[in-house]
Amino acid sequence: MNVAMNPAPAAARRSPIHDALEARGAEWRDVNGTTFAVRLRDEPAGDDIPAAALCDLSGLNQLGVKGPDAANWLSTAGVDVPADLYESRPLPSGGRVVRFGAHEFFLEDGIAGSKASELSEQLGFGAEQVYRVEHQDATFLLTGPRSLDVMAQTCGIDFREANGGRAIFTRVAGVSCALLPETIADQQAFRLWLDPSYAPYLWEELVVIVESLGGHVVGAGRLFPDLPA
Amino acid sequence: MKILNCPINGPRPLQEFHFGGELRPNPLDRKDGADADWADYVFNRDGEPGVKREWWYHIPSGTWFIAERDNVTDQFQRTYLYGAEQTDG
Amino acid sequence: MPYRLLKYALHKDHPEPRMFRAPERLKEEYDAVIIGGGGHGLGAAYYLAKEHGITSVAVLEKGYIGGGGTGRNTAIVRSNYLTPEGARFYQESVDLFRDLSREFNFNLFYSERGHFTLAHSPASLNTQRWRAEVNKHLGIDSEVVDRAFIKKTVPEIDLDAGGHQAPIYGALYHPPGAIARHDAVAWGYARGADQRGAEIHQQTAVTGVEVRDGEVAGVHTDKGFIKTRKVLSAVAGWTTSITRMVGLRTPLVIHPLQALVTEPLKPWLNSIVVSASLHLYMSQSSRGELVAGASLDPYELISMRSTLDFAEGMSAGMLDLFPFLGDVKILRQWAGLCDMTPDFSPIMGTTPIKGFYIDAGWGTWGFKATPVSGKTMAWTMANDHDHELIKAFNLSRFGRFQLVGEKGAASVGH
Ligand SMILES: Cc1cc2nc3c(=O)[nH]c(=O)nc-3n(C[C@H](O)[C@H](O)[C@H](O)COP(=O)(O)OP(=O)(O)OC[C@H]3O[C@@H](n4cnc5c(N)ncnc54)[C@H](O)[C@@H]3O)c2cc1C
Repeated sequence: MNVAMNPAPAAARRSPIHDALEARGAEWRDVNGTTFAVRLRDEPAGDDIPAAALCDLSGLNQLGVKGPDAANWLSTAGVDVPADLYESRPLPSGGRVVRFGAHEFFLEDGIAGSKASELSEQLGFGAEQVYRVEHQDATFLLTGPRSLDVMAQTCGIDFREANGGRAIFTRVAGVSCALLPETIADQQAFRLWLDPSYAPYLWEELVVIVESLGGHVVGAGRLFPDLPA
Repeated sequence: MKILNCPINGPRPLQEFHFGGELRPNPLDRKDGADADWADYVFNRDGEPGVKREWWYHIPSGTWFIAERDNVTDQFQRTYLYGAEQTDG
Repeated sequence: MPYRLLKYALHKDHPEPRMFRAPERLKEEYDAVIIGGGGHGLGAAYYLAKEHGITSVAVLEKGYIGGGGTGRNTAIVRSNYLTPEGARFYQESVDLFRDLSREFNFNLFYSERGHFTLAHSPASLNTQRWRAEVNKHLGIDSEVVDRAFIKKTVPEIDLDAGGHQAPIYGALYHPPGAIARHDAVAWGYARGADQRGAEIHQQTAVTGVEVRDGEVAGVHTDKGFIKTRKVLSAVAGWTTSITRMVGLRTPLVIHPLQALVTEPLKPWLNSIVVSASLHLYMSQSSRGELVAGASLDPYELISMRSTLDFAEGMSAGMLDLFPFLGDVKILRQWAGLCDMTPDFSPIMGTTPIKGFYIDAGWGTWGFKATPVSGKTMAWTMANDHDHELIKAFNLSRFGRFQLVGEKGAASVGH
């Protein structure tokens, strides 16, 4: 039964803002079966993180699971299961798992990780009371010293006091997002997950604000220099 | 900015919420089910001034909950998850 | 300075007669008491005296006349409704409005402008086509027009909404759509009622309605008790407070509706422009101010506070259509109360309580109905029987599941 109810997602994912990146002269690279813009034509030279950097990571593998046995199932598979609501933990091979509810979890691989995709393939084979929650979220990463100012202009939450590593469900420029404050290369960063149909709009809004603060849209290669070739 | 306290997500700007109307007894609990009672349930509302128990929805997280609000002063007095009104919201 | 104005500066006393008298005190008894000195209540008093010879009437107003929805609306009058009952009723109101300035000998600045309901998608254009066909079938002057027609009539409009919003595909056009000076409507009816013997008591709040054996016996006010056998509740956004006094259940819920005006400009906008997608309707008053309103506030509230959210959203919509307004200032913003019904039609006529009449459920659409409501409610009170034009709007329709669905005709899909 579970097999039929939990079809694995189709293989290749394409970012919902693929066209916007293409228009910025994206240099594409396939990593773990998904395509990333590693560098954009107008990016500043060098590899510094600009005042504010906006990066699309919508290709990352995601998995949502829920059900009475979801926590147990994840833990048996070697995942460090977050105990509290909205808490997040690193996945063994990079990426994060976030507790979205009493019995609901969201996993996203790191750029080189594969745990979420492995688990996704296993889900449904003999796992009772664990069900897939379909996720095709867009993932945006915002970082740099002025990323706080971008959030201040678009969201009602004061992130100066936000607790890193805990997800927050809120609205950014009017779009419902799950948001994870984190630290990348010693810089404050924010990961935004959102319904892909809103992604082109939110991307456009964020780009305007990021650029008005002297920031840039950057490829994944700048934030993750050890990206596999 | 007006703030509403979601029992799950904490204090948030009102723009993150959707109003779901007054909390009303489930009509299926009624034994009679006469047309007039059904019409009363379907159409009539307690639109009078006073403190109301209402459904509110935190949009980004998908959380439905109950708020007690004075519909004249617009003060939220308590919020809690449905069924949890005994415990302090 | 014209002499007429100078007179005011030189006179110690007010040089012109008041629009209506201010009676010293309430009488012990009236043939009829009307709660609410808005256009509807004053209109009912006027027609009771003029058409039914009932002049022992007190209109009780807790604030000042026209201080409710009557003086707060965006003053749009139109009849492009969708049900036979609605279309007939509002068309009668439009016909009454056209003659009202002459009847009052008082200028209401009733001004037919043409009313556009913009369609921002092919689907919406199809809906407007359907509305036009239903309207034509009901004898209402209404048609679908294309972009070129809109541009020719409103040259300042940006048909592509600056690229920020979906472009305009066409519009429903209703040539008789009009605006009027709303407080003058209240004053006109007040003066006419007063001249025919009715009393208008401002600063007099009704605090209770006395019902004995299912019949009205009088009303309690903050200035004492009045005996009467007929009471009309014409308090629109305050109706739930009055129905509570008599124990009537209704579907009414109250939401604020907000509006604003800009600083006055030279006349440039002749038409009334409505965009459901942008939640906006807009016209230019005879004073030159742009008058604009939005959709209902998103939750129930019996308070006339206004919000920054509204001013922001409203400005954004106005700029999408008319980018050149960028430097124009907002002069003031305000809110009124709207008593919403589930079918977007009013609640009018007799009630299960003998002698208690209701005129409510005016939501966001009641200004245009002022004359016809006054007239039909007066008839209903005089005959203790619903007037033909309002039979379908009786409160009992909900118990019979016979709604009069006009949501599709609401201007911005509240
Ligand atoms: C912003 C806004 C825009 C609108 N735009 C339009 C439009 O363009 N076209 C349209 O047709 N309609 C419009 N409307 C709706 C319209 O304004 C109302 O439906 C209409 O004015 C109702 O008139 P009324 O005479 O019934 O009530 P009101 O004018 O509201 O009068 C009711 C009166 O009752 C008094 N009262 C209340 N309680 C008591 C009491 N206990 N004792 C004594 N007196 C009491 C109040 O003080 C008030 O003066 C709009 C409304 C708003 C708020």
